[in-house]
Amino acid sequence: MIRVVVVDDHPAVRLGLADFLDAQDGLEIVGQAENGAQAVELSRTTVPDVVVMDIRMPELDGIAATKLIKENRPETGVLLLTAYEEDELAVAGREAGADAFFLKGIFGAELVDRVREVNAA
Amino acid sequence: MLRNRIIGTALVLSAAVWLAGWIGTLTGRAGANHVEDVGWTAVAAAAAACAFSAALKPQARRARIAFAFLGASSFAWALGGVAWTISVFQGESLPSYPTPSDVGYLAALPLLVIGVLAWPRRRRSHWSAGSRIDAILAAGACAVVSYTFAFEPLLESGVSGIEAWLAFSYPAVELGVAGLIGLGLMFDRWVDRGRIAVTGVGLLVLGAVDAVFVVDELDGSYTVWVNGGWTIAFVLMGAAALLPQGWPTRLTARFPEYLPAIVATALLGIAAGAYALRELGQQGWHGADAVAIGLLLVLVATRVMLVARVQLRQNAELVETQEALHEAQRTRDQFLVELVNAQERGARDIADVLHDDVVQELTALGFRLELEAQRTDAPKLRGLARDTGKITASIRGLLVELHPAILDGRGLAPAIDVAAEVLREHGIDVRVTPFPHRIQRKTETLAYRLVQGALANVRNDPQARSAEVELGLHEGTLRGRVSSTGSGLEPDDHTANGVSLLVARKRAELAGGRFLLDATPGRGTNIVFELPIPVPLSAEAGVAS
Repeated sequence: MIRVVVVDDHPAVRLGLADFLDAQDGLEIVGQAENGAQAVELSRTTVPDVVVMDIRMPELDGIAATKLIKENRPETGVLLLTAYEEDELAVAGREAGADAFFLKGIFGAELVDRVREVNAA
Repeated sequence: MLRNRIIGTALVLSAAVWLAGWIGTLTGRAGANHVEDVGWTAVAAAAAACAFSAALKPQARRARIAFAFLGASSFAWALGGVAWTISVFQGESLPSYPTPSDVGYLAALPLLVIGVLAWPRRRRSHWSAGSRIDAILAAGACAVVSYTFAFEPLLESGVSGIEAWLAFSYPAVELGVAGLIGLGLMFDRWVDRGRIAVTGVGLLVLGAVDAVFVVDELDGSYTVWVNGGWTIAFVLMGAAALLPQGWPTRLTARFPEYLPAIVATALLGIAAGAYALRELGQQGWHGADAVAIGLLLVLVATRVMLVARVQLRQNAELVETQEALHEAQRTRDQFLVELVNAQERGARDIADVLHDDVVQELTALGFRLELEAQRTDAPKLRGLARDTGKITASIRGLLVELHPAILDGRGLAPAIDVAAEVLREHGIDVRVTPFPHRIQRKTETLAYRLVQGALANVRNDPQARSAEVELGLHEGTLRGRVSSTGSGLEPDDHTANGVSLLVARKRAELAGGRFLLDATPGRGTNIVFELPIPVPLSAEAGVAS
């Protein structure tokens, strides 16, 4: 079972994403956070396999949070979600240690496959 | 117009008949003086036809009335000419003065006065200042000059009573009306002043000739030159009627409105000088001469001062108008700056709403639909989830157009690189040179908009295959260049592309910069812009939030 933490400041997205992933075989939602700081803390306490996280968030953004999560536990997979198709964000995210990116608006098996890939990496 | 051509031709042919008679008289041909009389009489009749024709043309009502009376006046003259010609032809000698033809000539005088008084005038003169004094001076000068040149010789020749007044009435009325026209020109009172000016010159010639005729005939030295004067006078009056309304439009537009007054003043000065020289050369000074010359000189001086005053006033008004214009331009530019800033703020706000609300809600909806599709195994729900994804993708494209978040987060070059993706998808190779600097947000946004517009033009060019965007800093200026291959823009392109380039140029200028377009049809387009950077540069590009 892949333990997943979902992080997004938008409640509807966070809940929708969490419910969707939780319903998939082999995936389990172990926590939800609404900003980067909470995500870092939740990663310490729940020790997830994969963190699915938005980039643009208040207090601490997804890229900065990725860096802290990876510094704390490098084997934690991080899948960043973004509303923009901007390569520069991908570069910054990769530099911070993110394992993969995913555009908001793509649903279904593709997202689930990506979570599994990140876990396997 | 055919009618004008026919009448004009008749006028010229009549003048030619007089000329033939005049040459015949000078060469001593018998009966040539009759041809002369027939010629100038026909010219008067043709001038009457010209005026009547003008009275029928669609134009100002007062101008039509004026031409009707001027035509009647010329026609009366022509009738007088007919009576004169017949009496001379039958009597084989010059008829004694006054002749039967004087009935026609005398009838012409009041018609002439009414015609000129009926001419359309301005209600308020631009030359109202000092006009009454000028009128008194001019009337006094005219009275003294008329007395000296016309009435005094009449009295000295022994003619008296009604005969003297009758003889004096021709030049007095004609020169008086010519003077009236001249005063109207000086005071800029006439509407359509070109045609009335030509009429005035004709009357001046007529009056001068009649003055010579009256004096010369009384002392028995009648001269054939007088007929030439009459012919010229009626040709001028006929020509004035044939001229188009408002003539000369181009000339009037080119010269200042007070030019007629300056010309009239100059003519007055010349007249005063010539008068003084004549009196000095012939018989010395008389009291009347001194008064006449003095009045003329004072008149000239007042006119010169008035012209100078009006010129100074107009200069001051011009300066005020220019300042008001500059102020209006500054206000307009400020308004445009505010408008552009508001547009940018609006675009940013819309982008934020789309990103923070619409895209998030659609994403959440997509997950819910996908989840329900899995639970219920409903393909339709899965299709709806995909559609939601497509809508989200479209909005993402719109976000980049409106205000790319990467511009604020990462700076110009990364934002331009994202914007160039659309062109790359269309098969256009776009290269963006590195530009690691961060500058003021407003300048970054403006530079981005300029490049964005240029790239939009490249995308719309079906011949475009490659483009290059270069950004650089040079002495406090951001320089940008967007060069592309393709068909290139036309210099006077007023299509949507052309208009967007105009807007781009204006935006750059409002920011204190400049925008240059170098395009050759078939050889691509090269757009260069420079924007000032008033505040020192910050550190290199930061990381997007």
